[in-house]
Amino acid sequence: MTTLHAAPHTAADDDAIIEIRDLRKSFGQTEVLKGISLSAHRGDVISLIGSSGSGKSTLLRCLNLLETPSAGTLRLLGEPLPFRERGGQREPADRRQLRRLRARLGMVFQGFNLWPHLTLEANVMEAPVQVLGRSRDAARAEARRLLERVGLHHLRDAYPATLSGGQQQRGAIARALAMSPEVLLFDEPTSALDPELVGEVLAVIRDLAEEGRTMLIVTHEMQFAADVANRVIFLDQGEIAAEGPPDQVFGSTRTERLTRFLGTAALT
Amino acid sequence: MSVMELLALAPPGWGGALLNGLWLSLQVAGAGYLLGLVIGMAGAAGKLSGGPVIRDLLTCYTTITRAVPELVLILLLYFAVPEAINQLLATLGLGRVDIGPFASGVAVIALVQGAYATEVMRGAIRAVPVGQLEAAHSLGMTPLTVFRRITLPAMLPGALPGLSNLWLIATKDTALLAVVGFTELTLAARQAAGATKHYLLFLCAAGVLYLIVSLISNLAFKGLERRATRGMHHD
Ligand SMILES: Nc1ncnc2c1ncn2[C@@H]1O[C@H](COP(=O)(O)OP(=O)(O)OP(=O)(O)O)[C@@H](O)[C@H]1O
Ligand SMILES: [Mg+2]
Repeated sequence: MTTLHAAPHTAADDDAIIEIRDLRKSFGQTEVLKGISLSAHRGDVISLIGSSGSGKSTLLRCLNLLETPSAGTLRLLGEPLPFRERGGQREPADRRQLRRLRARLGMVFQGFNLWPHLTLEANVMEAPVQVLGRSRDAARAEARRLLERVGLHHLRDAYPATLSGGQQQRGAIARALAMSPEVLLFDEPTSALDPELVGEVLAVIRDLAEEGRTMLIVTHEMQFAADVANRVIFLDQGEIAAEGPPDQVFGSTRTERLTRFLGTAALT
Repeated sequence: MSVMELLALAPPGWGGALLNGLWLSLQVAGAGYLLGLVIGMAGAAGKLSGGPVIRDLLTCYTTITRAVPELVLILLLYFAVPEAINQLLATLGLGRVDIGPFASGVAVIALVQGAYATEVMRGAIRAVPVGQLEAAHSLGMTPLTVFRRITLPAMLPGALPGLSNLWLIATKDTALLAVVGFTELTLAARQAAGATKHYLLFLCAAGVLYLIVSLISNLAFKGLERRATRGMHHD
């Protein structure tokens, strides 16, 4: 296993923006994440790669608690996130803290998940108005600026169903950005797109990386993963099987498991 | 008397009595329906995210209410329940309360509509893609905000056809209140018919009024559906 830090997870990493230690997640009897430790610092762009079913989505969803980890500790934006047991279920102990932290973590889904009953602009305005209490005027101005940025200003009054996948995904990125998140989580943002639409979405994400944003990106686009990230994490069967700078992970010293994965990844 | 004289608004014509009956019917139906929607919303939320006890209680409610004939429920609520309440009040040394036919009518319709609306809304809520809700939660919205701003508008297109049906049923169910002497449209028509012996005329007149209500309601619900599904179709 290659790691960037010699002993990265022994003490609390105080300036880590995300820090998880020995995170485990089981669905029923199957353990999907088998003790994951990682930390992300401000400005890190981390690519998460691994074969289908290796637990990438589950890991990302644990980070904003769409899934509750079965065990392990989690520090988000410097705050430890405590859990409690309720009715035999583990859940975040403080729902308010959870919402406060979620508002500062942006998530972009494989399936876009724009709200179909709202126009693109209204989709982007919704959380700033409802969660941050922004005025509609301020939220609208910001929404237009962000839609401009992702190249959708002219489509701001369109409903999601009338847009292409690439347009919807760029809209979903604008929706996440509207909360001025400190970390962006991308779960295979281009996997549901026709090949000719992948580029426009990757360009937006690349642009965000160059801006110095902290991002975790699950992706099957290996070239992109190598280009955009300063760190690559290879997940295999619920464990981190390789981790480090892209040239190191993808380079000549790559592990056998990774070589096997890259061999199959090239085919898909 | 000619047909026009019989249907004249002012007595001795019976038109005014019929319209008055219609107005009462619409009031009972409207109040019962709105209350039923509130019950249905709470019931659906309880069935989907309540604990096991709440879910079992709600299942009892929807199963029993939908199984027992509404006529029986009306008689129960009009005669039996007030009697029980008054006996209870009497043992406490308190005075009697009077539950009029209007209130018991509204209560029965709300109870029945609530049971059906629970099922309609539960189905519609479950059909909302979970990703849309996850997106809302991932932005830090409270469960109430998610429900109000995302779940509710997203489930409306699925719920409106069922809810529109329920409204039509509610307007017709008001006719059952005739048994407790509430002069809604059907009883008003029967009284007019009895007094004048023009049965066919007045029952047809009542039928036409019900038909007009249903046609206008259909238009209104079609408009609502168009609004609710705005933007949700590809073409
Ligand atoms: N809610 C769930 N209930 C039960 N099993 C689940 C659930 N979510 C994920 N799994 C299982 O956990 C394993 C890891 O799933 P996950 O979605 O995290 O993989 P992934 O690496 O994102 O795969 P892909 O590349 O296909 O998206 C899979 O075997 C999957 O079937
Ligand atoms: Mg996945």
